[in-house]
Amino acid sequence: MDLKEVYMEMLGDYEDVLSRLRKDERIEKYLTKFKDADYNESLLKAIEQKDYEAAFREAHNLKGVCQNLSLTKLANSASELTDSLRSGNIPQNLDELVCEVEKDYELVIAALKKWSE
Amino acid sequence: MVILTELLPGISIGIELSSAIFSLMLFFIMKFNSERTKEMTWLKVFSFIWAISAWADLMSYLLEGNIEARNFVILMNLLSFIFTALSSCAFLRFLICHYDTKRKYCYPSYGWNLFKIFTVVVVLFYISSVWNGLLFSVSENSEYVLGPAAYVLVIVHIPFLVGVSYVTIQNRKLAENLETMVLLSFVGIMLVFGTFDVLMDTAFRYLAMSVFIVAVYFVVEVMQENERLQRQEAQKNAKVIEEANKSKLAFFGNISHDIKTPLTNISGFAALAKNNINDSEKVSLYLERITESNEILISLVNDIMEMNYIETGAIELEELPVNIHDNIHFLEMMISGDLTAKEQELVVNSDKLSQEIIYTDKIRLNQVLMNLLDNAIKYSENGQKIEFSVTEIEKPDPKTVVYEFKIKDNGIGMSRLEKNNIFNSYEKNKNLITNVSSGNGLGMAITKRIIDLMNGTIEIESELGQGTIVCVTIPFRIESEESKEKSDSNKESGANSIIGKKLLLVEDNELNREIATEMLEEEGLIIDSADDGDVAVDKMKTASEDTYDLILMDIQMPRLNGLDATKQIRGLDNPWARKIPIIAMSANAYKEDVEKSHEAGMDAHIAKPLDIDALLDVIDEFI
Repeated sequence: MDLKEVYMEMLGDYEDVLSRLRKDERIEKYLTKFKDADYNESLLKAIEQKDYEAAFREAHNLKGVCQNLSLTKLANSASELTDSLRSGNIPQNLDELVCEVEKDYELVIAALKKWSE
Repeated sequence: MVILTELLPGISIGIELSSAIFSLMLFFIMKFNSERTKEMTWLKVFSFIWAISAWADLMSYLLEGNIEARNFVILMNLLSFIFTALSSCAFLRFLICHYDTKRKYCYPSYGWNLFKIFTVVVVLFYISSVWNGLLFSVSENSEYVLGPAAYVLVIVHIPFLVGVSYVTIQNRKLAENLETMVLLSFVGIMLVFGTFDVLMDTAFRYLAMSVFIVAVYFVVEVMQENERLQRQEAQKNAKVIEEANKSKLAFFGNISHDIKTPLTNISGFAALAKNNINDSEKVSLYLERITESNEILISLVNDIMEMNYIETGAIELEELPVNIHDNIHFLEMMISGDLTAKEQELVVNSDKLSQEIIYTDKIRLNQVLMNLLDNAIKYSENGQKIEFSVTEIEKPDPKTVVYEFKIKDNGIGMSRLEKNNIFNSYEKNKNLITNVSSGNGLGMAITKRIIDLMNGTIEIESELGQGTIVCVTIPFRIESEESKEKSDSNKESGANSIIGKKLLLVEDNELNREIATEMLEEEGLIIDSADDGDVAVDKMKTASEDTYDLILMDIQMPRLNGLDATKQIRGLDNPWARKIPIIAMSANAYKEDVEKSHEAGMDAHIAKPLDIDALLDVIDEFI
């Protein structure tokens, strides 16, 4: 399974990430780091504790990394969550947005795990 | 005050009398004017209405004090006010027609300004009427006596009238909503009426009514004028679109024809080749013809695509330093083959150029010059001479130089018609096919568009049988003496590139920070990082002048964000902290965000996710 296929499975944009990070080895290195960092956990924890300021930071963090690694689908759902938390109010469809992020995150992680094996 | 009271009736009657006489004169002059334009008609209407108003006013003055004629005086006053209002509308009509006949599309600004001035005049007229009210009112004995309520009238009347006129004229969009404006007028008039009912007599009620009429008329005029402008705009747009469509259809017609000819050739020669498959000599000739036709097709399609890119604005010029002498030499080499083939001589003159290095899109510049040189060669006879000169014609400022490229041949030249149509692409260029077969295609049209993109000009002088002179002038950016010295000194110290420069990267996102650090270090930069604004400010507090050359600052960070951190850094005592370039990084590259970052004291803004090339360009610009 090459990187391009992994990106297809993660619903990301391989051409975009390659144009910016330039080398497959670099992309691989940071994908691995992303996989091991467990961004989702800290986000979910913040949501669970109703610490929406922390949740915003975590979502923003996740969005930034995903944009940098061109994990387009996850970046989009994280971006939506970030925007809805930005004002400091609790959005009505919070559960839905979080659910979407979780789903996209699992998709990326599953693809990455499959690839590393 | 007493003197004024005594003087005023005299002054007033003088004004009234001269106004009445002048209006009558204007009316008669107009009456004998046989011009039957809309413009004149409205001027006539205006003079007529104005005459009535002025005479009515005069009457009311003459009959002042006559108890029996009291009602007549009031009627005349009323007539005067109403007709003055009407005359202002007639004059506006005249103005509109006047600018229509002059076909000045600048009417909206110029005409509106005039209208505004005129409104001020009308308003002043009313103020002067109120001035009368300020000092006099009509008593039971039909005499003008001083009335204190006139002050209230002024207070209410003037701001109201000025306000309505101003709002109406300044906010034409607001006036599109007729109800709003009428309501506004109505509220105002109720105010005036209310005041009058308590304090004033009938004569001033009439005055207030005429004010109301003026206000409503202004609104209606503005409404109609708006509609008229919108209609005019819509018609103009429709016409432009129709023209564009027509010429595009004509273009498709021509281009289809031009494509069809080589295509027919290809299929014809292919059929011939098939029929003579055993005669290898013939087949090879036919294949050659097919290749030729194919080349014409390809060049045509390339030209169409290029034209399309330019016309849709998809082409952007990439300005890079170019040595003009090297470039001229390169062009000479490029055409030397064709020159030798036709035994022609190229005389190049480019000695008097003050600037060797110019900033331009080399490929596009050469595309233009190659096309012109090619044409000169193509349309000259064997053995003729072609002159190519480059001269500096002006240096409007230290950073710009204007060069003229002149290409002169003694070839077959062009007719006037050919010359006029040479830059057209969509117009019916009947000669396209002959041009295409000689390889020219849309070349000149493209050349013109590229020169336009470069803010240059192209002029052609040509006479049939005499030859052609093409002059292209293009302004180029150059390095000013100042920056040249700077870069020279940089070169001397061996640091004209970004290698070895020290950057402070402020980014809270760990992974992104790592990626950026790794990539920038690969480019030879030395990176120190801070994971939020607080840390960055602390680092800057203890930094010395040469600790960092530039700061890359994320905007959205916990604790202290990028904007506030920048403000704090700019507020530090160290003079270098105020000067160090700070580049903002954020995912929101909206104009508002960019403005905010500028306000905070940042020098540039780059979008995330980071594109390392774009980032290096920005860094390069500031180091």
